[in-house]
Amino acid sequence: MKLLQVEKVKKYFVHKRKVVRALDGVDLFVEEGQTSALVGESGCGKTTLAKVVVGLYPPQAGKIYLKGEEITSKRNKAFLRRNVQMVFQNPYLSLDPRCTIFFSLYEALSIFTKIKKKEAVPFLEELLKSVELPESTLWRYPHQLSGGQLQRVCIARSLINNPSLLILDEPTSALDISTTVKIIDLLLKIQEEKSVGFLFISHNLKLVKHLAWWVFVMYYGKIVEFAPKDLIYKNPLHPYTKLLLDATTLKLKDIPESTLPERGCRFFSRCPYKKDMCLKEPTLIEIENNHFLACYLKRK
Amino acid sequence: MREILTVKNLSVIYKVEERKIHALKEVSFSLREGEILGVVGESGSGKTTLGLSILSLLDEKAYASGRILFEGRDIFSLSEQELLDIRGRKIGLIFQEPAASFNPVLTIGYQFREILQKKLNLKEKNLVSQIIYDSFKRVKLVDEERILRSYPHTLSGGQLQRIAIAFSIALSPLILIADEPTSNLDITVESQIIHLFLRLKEELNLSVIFITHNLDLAKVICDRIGVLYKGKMREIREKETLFREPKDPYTKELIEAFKKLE
Amino acid sequence: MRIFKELIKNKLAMISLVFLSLFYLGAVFADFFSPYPYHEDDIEYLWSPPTRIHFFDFHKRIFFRPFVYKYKFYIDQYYRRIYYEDRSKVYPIKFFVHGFKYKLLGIIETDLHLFGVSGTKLFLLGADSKGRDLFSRILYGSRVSLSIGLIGASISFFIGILVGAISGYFGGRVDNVIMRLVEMMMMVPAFYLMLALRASFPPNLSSTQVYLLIIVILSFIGWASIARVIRGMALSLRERDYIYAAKVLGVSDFKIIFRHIIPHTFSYALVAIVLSIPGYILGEAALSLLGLGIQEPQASWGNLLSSALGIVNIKIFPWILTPGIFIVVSSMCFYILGESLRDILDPKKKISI
Repeated sequence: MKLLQVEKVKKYFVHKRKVVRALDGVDLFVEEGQTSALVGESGCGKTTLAKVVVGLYPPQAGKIYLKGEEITSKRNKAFLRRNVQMVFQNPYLSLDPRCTIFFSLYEALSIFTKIKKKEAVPFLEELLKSVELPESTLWRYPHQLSGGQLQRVCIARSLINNPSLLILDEPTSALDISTTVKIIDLLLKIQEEKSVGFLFISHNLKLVKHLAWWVFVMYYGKIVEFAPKDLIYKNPLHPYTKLLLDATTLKLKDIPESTLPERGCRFFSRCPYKKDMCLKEPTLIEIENNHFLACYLKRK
Repeated sequence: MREILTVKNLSVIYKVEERKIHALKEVSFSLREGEILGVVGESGSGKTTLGLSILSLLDEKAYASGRILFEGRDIFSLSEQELLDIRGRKIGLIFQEPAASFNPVLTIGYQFREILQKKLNLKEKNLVSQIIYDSFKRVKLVDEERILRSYPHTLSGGQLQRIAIAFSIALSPLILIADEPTSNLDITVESQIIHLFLRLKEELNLSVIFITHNLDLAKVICDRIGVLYKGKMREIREKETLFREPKDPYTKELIEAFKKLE
Repeated sequence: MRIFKELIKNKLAMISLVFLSLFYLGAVFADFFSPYPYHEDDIEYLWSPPTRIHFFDFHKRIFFRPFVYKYKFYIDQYYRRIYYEDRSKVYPIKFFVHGFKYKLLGIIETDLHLFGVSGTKLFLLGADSKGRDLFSRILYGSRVSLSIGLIGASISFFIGILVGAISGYFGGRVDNVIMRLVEMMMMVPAFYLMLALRASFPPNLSSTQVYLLIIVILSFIGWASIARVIRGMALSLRERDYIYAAKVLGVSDFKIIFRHIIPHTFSYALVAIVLSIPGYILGEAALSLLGLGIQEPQASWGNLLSSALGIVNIKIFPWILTPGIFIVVSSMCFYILGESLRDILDPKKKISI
């Protein structure tokens, strides 16, 4: 049984009389204690997916299972909150600037645990230690801390109630390179110690290599390819995956502008291999061992 | 290669609520003709201040000392009129936020014509159109008619940044200062813009100061790289050498982190 | 606090603050500063002009204490009183005198007054049609006028912030219903609403009842516009990452509203409250002026001005306009203070409450 199973989730938004299909049938999973990376550019729907999984938006269609329990309906809110938490992209904005770190953490703690403020202090001090922050941080305000420190606080906050799944939405995009390395190391350490599953969302294919077991590539609201990490890097099959890899290594020179077609494969306008049959949208099919692809290229 | 711009002992102090922030401390370096010089620094290192200083665009609350030599004169000693002559015409600037280069209530075409008219004193319609189309072609923008008629908010970040670059090169500057030009863009767009810079450097013999926090970018695009940390230029040398044998301790840390993430 | 430090730099704001502090001090310790109780009338001194204070007497002798002469009057051809000084006797002004009894701060019984004269009357700002000291009445009146401003504004804001925050945070139908209600309230012209509300209650109510009623009416009118602004702020605040983070953690909606949304509206709210107080002061003044507010013999700046309604009175007894000056000055001080606070709390400057 997978820790998280997302099945054909659809989420539409209505904006100025146009329907924006942010998620158009997304399938994804996270194994217990492992990391699944969700990779895509801005606007592909990865943040929307995160918000749907975490319960901020209800999906139009599809189901989400956590440890086998369905969490898409509203009834299981407490179960959801206990087991799934999220770390946001911008650490500078994830904490209320008027609250001390202590208060922000205590607020999180007191949701599921009845504990007085004084009693909470030693627990929270230990918590900060586990994310490599000094105890004095507890009494600071967000504006007194650096991006890296703030993100550690956010990670600590998300772990307070011992969730089994942590969703990280571009957690290092706003950080410097040396801080990024330290945060990645911290995440790996936490995963090993607490066996937490991560859904790591990023636009950087190179970065997720360090954490991911599975890599899901997303384009315009759909998963176009997914596979165990090594396969994605050694043998990327979808033209978009190849494009992303080229872009990440800065080898990409020119591609046409992206437009979302009315029907058919979403990648049509940019695909160098497009054919007539691509006007009918391809579905995700297992091509080789655990390597899934939504493209007609490799079909036999 | 001769030196086209020389910065000597540049120091910039900001006064904020009775506190003094030393944004730059005695920074010295030169830009050689036809090279892309990278200025790599993390947030708070002072790199944006550096870009603004060169064009004397600092805030009133900033105190700058040192010299910036360009075409035999110190930029800090120039009059406002002389500065206007240099900004855009001789030294161009590309901002991090693509939309920041544009007035949101005017069409692209209007703004382009206005720039050419004011900066190059061009009024003849045909000549102006010619320059506009040539610039668009160079940055590989298609659908010129539609873009000229559009307002900035209807265009994507990548398109806007290309247009900003088009605006800049239309004035045929000698130097281009690019302050994190791709940081707000998608990675696919970023890759394309980087290659655009490389191409422009070749075709137009542009000298570029490329400010970034991303070592990946610097590695691909720059000839020489200077590392800025907390206002001080720690090390500046040829790209290969910097990556192979960094001397400064901070640079070492940076390169190590970089290698770890490869 | 840093706000205070910034405020001190602004000279105009500091002057306003000093003035307001003096006014409120005067209001709280009205009994101490007033030589006479507000209701003490005196037939001998109807419409007496302000008593002149002398330091040198007729014989050019210097007195170290200021003194006054007794005022006597004669009736002229138009049956008006003309007052003149009787220079036969000198009445020195004494400080920290014993006068009428009162309860300091409502608890301590005492009869100490800042200044006073025995044997004659000292009217710093003249007397009214019943011979009552205008200065004393202004001081007692300030209690009503200044407190109604503060209390009315506070209640309005309390209601307005609550309604606005709830409306903006929840959005959707809740927001729709509440905002339509708010708009309906804002459509009615405030002044007429005020009169209508007052008129729907019996005209003869006790002073305390009228006082409370005025506060209720003014608050009722004022909360709508505040709610609208706070709702707008809440709408944008709820999109912030730390609100999402709190939701994901499981913090209840009401806790989010009270701990994370409303506190971020304080900067705006403080400025808006200060700038709205003059409106409440004027509202009470208007009601009292028309006879619908505080009734005689109680004093409020508004009803003190009602005797100034006739142009004849103003011409012959110009001191009767003094309450108006107090209203104007206190309103200006609030405006200046509010504007200065607004500049200090400007989001670009990153100073907040």
